Amino acid sequence: MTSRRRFLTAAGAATSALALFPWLERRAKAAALPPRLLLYYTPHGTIWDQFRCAGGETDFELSPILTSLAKHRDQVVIVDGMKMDNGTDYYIPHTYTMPVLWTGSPIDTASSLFCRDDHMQCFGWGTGTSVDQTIAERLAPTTPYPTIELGYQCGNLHPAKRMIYTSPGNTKNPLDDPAAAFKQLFGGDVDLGEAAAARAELRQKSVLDAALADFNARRAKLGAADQSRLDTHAASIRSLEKSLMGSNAICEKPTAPTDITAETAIDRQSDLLAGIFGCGLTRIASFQLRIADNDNSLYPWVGLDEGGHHTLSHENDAATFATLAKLYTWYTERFVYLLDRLAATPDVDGTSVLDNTLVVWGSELGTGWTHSLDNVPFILAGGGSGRLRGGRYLKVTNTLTNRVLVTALEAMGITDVEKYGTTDTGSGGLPGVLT
Amino acid sequence: MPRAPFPPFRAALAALAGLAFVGCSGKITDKAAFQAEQGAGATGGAATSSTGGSGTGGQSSGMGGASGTGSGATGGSSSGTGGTSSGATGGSGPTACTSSASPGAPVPLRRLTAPQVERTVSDVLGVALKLDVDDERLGTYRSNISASVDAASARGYYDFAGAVAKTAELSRCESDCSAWLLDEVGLRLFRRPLAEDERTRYAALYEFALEDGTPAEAAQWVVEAMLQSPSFLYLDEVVKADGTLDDYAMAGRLSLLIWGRNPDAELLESAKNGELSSAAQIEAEVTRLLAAPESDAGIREFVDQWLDLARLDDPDVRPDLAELGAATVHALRDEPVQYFRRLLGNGAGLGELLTSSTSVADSELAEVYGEDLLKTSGTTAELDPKRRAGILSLPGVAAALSHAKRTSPTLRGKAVLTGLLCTPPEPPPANVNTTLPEATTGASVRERLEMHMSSPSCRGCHAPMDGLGFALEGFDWLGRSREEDNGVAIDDESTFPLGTEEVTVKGAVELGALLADSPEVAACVSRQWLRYSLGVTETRAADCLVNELATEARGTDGLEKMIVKALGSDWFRRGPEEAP
Repeated sequence: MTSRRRFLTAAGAATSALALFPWLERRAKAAALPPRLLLYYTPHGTIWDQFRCAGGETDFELSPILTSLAKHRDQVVIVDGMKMDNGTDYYIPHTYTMPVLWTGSPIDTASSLFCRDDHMQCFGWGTGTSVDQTIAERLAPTTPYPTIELGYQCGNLHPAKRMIYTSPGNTKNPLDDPAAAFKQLFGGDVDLGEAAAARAELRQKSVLDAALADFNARRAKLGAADQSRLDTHAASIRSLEKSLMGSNAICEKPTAPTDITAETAIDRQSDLLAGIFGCGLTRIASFQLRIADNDNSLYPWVGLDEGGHHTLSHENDAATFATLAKLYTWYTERFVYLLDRLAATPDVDGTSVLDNTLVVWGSELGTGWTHSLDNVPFILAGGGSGRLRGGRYLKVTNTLTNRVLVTALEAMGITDVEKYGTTDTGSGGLPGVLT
Repeated sequence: MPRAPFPPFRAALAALAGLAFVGCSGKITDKAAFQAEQGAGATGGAATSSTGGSGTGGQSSGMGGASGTGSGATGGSSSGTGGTSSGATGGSGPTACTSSASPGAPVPLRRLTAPQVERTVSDVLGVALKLDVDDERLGTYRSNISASVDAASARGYYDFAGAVAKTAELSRCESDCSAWLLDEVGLRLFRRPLAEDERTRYAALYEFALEDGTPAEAAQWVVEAMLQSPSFLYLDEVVKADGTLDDYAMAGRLSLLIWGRNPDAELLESAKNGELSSAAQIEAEVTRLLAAPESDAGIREFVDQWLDLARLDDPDVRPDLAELGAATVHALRDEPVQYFRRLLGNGAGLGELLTSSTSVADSELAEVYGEDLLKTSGTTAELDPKRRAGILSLPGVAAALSHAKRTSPTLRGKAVLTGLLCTPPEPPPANVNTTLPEATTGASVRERLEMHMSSPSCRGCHAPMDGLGFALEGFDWLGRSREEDNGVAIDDESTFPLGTEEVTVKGAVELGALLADSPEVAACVSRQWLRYSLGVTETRAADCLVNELATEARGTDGLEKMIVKALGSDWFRRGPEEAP
C-alpha cells in the first residue's frame, strides 16, 4: 500500500475524529470553530456550451463538464453570467486579468517593468491587494501562517503567473511543487528529546529575533518600495518562527507525497491542502493551477497531446472544443478530488473541514477562444460554516466578479465591505448565496 | 560567387539604430506612442545628464524602459514575456547626451544571489552547502531587485543557516571566540565592520547561548543569525556626501560582481583606508580583481547568462544531452567562459572575441571538435580558422542554442539579435502555432524554416532571426561541424533583411568577422556588461557612457578596458538618488 493510500484510509476510516487525532480535543477547547477560505484557479475559462447547466436554479441538470460535482451538489453554487472588468483602456488577454481575478483592481499600465512588443504595451504588477490577504490582515489570525499559497507549475515571476497580492505590486509565490511544499509546511525538525527540543526552540527563537532586530535597524535607511520588500521578508521570518514553534505542538503530519507526476501532482497538492486546514496551519489558502499567459501544457491523459492548452483555446472547430471540454472536465474532477479530501478531513467539532470552508473556483477570463470577459465561470463550494446556500445554479446578469470577492469577505465574517477593488462599482456580495 | 560584399551588412547594422517597429504581422506600426510612454522618465534623465547634474528626473522610470526619441540614438525594443524592457542600441550617430557624467544607475535594494551566498559562506566559514532559494531573472541576468522574500525563501535561508552553523569551521571556538565572530566573521559577511548596535546584539546573543552552552554552540547561534540578517543578504549601499558610494559599498559591489562573492580581507582593508574613492583607485582595484583566479566566478556569471548556456543543463529543453556524460556537458558550458577569460587576460579587444580561433584546451571536447581541433599546446587549443572563429562558433554556444537533436537557426539568430545587437525580436503573437511543420522526407531544418517563412505573418520577425541563424548551420545540435542535415547538404549562405538593408553572409567565420567590425556590436556588448554589473537595465542616461565603452572595447586591451571603465564610471560609482 502506498503511503498516500495509507493516509487516505486512515483519514477516511475514522469513526471519531477525536479518537484518531487526540490533539483535536485541545484545539476544540481552545477556540470556536473558525471559517476558512480557499481560492482555486484554473487557466483560460471554459467551454460554455459544455459547462452551462440546463434547468432552473435548484432543479438544474449538471452539464457534461460538471457531472462529477454530483456528490457535492448540495454544497455547490454554480454562477453563470459574471463579468470581469479589466479596468484598463487596453487589454492584453490573460496577462491583464490575472491580477484582477482576486484583487478586483487593474494591472499597472504606468509601469514599464514588463513589455509586450506584439501589443506595444508595457505594464507592471497588479495595483490591488487580493481578497485573501485583506482578510488575513483584517482577522490577524493566530495560525502559524496567515495564509498559504499552493500551486502547480506557476513559472517565473510575471504578472500573468501570480495571482496573490499582499499589497499593490507585491505578489506571493505559490509553493508549486508538492514535495517542496510538504517539506516547507510539514518538514519540521526531527523528534528530539525533551531537553534538546526545548534548547532547539530557544535557539530558533533567539537566532531569528536577532536577525529580525537587524531588519528594524536597516529599514530606516531605505526608500518606501525597498522598505516594503524588507518588511515582507521580516514578516516571512515571523511566520516561519510561528510555524516552527507550532508544528511540533499541535499537528499530526500528513505523509510525504510520493509518485508525483504531471497527472497526479494537483491531487497531491489537494492532499496537502486538506492537511494544512486539518492541522490548523492556516485558515486562508489558495491554489493556482499553472499560469494565465499562457498555459501551453499538454494533458495527454485527456487526449490533449499536441498544441498545448492555450494554443488550442484559440481554435474554434468542433474537434478542438471536444478536446478542451475533456480538459475542463478533468479540471472539475481535480476540484472534486479536493472537495473529497476536505470532506474526509475531520474538523474539531466532528464535522468535516469542507463543512467549515468556502472554496471559490475562478479563472482569468470566460472563454479562451474569444478572450471574452463577459462570462467568467465561478463555482462556490463547501459548507461555508453552514452559511452557503448550496445546490443551486445561479444565473446573473450585469454582475461584476468583484461581487464574489465581497462574498468571500462576508463568509469570513467581514461584513462592513460593500465593494472590493478599484474596478468595483459596489453593491455587496452575490445576492442570496450566503444565509 | 556573385553576392554583395561586406558594406551592405555594415550599413544594415548601422541602420538597425533607426529600425522601425516591425510587427510580426509584417506591418510597420507606429511606435511613437509606445516610445513616448516608455521613455518619458528616461528622456528626463538624458537631459539632466547632459548638464552633468543629479539626474533625479531620469531615475523616475526605475528599471524600466530605456528608450528615447533622440536623433540617431534609438529606441527601446524590449524582450517578451518575463523580460524587462531592454535598452536601445547606442548607434554611431550623434546621441542626445553630450556628457558621460551620468547620474548614477537607479539600483533598487539588491539581495545577493544564491551562488554569491554559497561562495561567501564557503570562503568565510569553510562550508560548501547549497542554498535552496530561487533568484529572479527579469532580464538576461539574475538580479534580486523586485520580489520579496516569502515564507518558502525564508525557510530556505533558515535551513541553510542552520546547516552551515552545524558544520562550520569553528575550531577556534574551543574557548571564547566572540571577538573573532564580531570582528572577522561579521566583517566578512556584512562587507563592512559591524555597527555598534549590531555588535551589542550579537554579543548579547553569544552570551545568552553561553549561559547553558559551550563557546562553539554560542558561535553557531551567532553564525546562524548573521546568515539570516539583512545586512548579509542585501547590499548595503551607503552614499557619501558627494553622491558616490562609500568605500565599503564599492568594495561589496566590485567583489560580488567580479568574484561572485563577498570581498576578501585585502579589499576590505582598502575600503577601510579610503582607497576606493576615486575612479583611478577603483580602476586599479578592478584590474587586480580581474587578474585573480576568483574572477572565474563573476566572468562566468556574465558569459553564461549572456549566451544562455544554462540550457545545456536543463533536461527539460535538452533531454538529449544526458548521453554525452556530465563531464562533456560541463566542458561545453565551460569553454565559452574560459575563452572569454583567456582573451580578457591577453589584452584582446572585442574583435577577437568574435574572430579568434584560439581557445583553451579541454580534452573532453576533442570528440566534439573532431578535425576542427588542429592542435593543443599546453593550455591552448588551436582551432581550424576556416570553420571556427569567434565565440559564436564554439560548440557549447552552438549546442546551447539548439533544440534536442536538431539545430535552431531561430534561437541562434535571436541570440545574436538580442545579445550582440541589442535589438531583440518580438515574441511570437499569442495566437500562432510555433511548432515547425512536420519534416517531409529529407527536409533539413533550414528547408522547414523557409517553408514556415513563406507565411507573411511569420516572415517579418523570422527573416532576420533565421537569416542570421542559417549562417551557423554548419554546426549541429551538439556543436559538431557537419556537411549535411538530414541528407541535405548544408547551405550556410544566407540573405536576409537587417534593418532597412538586404544582407548576405556565408558561414560562421564570415558572420563573426562582420560582427567583429561593427560599432553597434561593441555598443551592445558594453550595454550587456552594464546590465550585468548593475542588475538593472540601463536608462538612456547611460548612452554616452555606452558609446565611450564601445570605443574602448574595439581597441587594444578592449575587453578589459570596457569592464574597467564601466566600473570606474559615475554610472557605477554613484548611489541611487532616491534617498529615504
